[in-house]
Amino acid sequence: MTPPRGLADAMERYLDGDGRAFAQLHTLLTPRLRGLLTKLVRDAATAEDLLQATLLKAHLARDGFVVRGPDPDASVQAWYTTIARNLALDHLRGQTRERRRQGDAGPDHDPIADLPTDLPSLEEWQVDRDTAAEIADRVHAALARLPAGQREIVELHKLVGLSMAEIATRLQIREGAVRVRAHRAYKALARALGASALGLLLGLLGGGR
Amino acid sequence: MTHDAAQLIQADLADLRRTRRAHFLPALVVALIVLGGFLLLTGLRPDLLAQPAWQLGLQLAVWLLCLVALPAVGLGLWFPARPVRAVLAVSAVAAAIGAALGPALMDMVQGTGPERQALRLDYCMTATFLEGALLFGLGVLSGAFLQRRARGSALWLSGGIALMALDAVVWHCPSNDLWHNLQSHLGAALVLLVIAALAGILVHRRR
Repeated sequence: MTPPRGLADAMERYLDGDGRAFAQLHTLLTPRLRGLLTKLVRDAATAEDLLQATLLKAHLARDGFVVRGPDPDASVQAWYTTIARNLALDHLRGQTRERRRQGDAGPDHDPIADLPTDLPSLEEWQVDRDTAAEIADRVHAALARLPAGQREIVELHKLVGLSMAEIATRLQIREGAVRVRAHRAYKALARALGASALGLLLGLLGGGR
Repeated sequence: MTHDAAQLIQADLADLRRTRRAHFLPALVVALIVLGGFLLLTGLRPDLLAQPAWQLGLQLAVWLLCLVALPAVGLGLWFPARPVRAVLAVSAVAAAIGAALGPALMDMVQGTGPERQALRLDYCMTATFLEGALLFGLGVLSGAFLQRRARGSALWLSGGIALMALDAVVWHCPSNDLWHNLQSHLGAALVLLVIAALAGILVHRRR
């Protein structure tokens, strides 16, 4: 999706506190973000809520924005799109968890029983956390480099936990096309991360069907 | 969610501008005290009001630019469009040249003293640097160089500081000597601008 011209200039002035620049940015970005969110969550009201949340989250995190890549306008659009997509994925993930909980948990279900008994020590946990953070950074960077169509499928498959058939229905494309894109995406990720890191990533996520 | 995020963000930005204004006004008062103190201690030029009207007008324009317009842009209280910013920068340079050189430039009046022969640190130059140092310190202490994200803000603030020091010296020194005005007024202000801008950018980087 080609970003509208003038985004980076408006963003720069908005970051400096210019209210008119924010209004301009809002006008340029809102229709695209709304479209993306509606496509992801398939509900106009939820998309609107997520849009508001996107703008607020971006506002609170605006000091962290930096231009990446040769096109500053695309960088601004990508930053907002990533926030919107992450919020939508969180929402979908929450929905999936909720569905699973409702489906699996009986009236006598004890949630404490679900807690793992082989918890790591504090030192192990710290090491694991550092490793996980490093892997997450590498994975985010590799994901960001994927074409949008492939990235969307990886996120829906591995992060949201949808099956290929469900993704095909959601995106209104053939299941075969989903599989081809997923295959290309995982190949690209394997090249970017190295096979071992990809294996570890898929193992850690473990949500695919 | 029932809030309109855009309204909340606009309210937050308005609050930010109020905070910046609250920082700016006391700093402006202190800057006026510094400049007033300098002129009170060293004395106003005897021909201040006898200067040609256009020259006095230019000097007043420089005061307006350096006390209000340039700091407002540098602090993020005013966000003019790019063409307006360009006009503002060109006007500041033109007004500074006109106010500093004035009739010396028009009539090509040239001094005959030893000041023509070599560049040296004279009274006016020292005064410009001292005032500039005080005003720059004020800018750093008031957090002016940290208000905006854009590094260019340091240039606007440094421009304001250099023009303040320049105009104060112009209101003190009645010289119509082209070489003296070029070297000790305008030249000193230019050096001050460069040093203040570099130091301002360094301060800004620590943000």
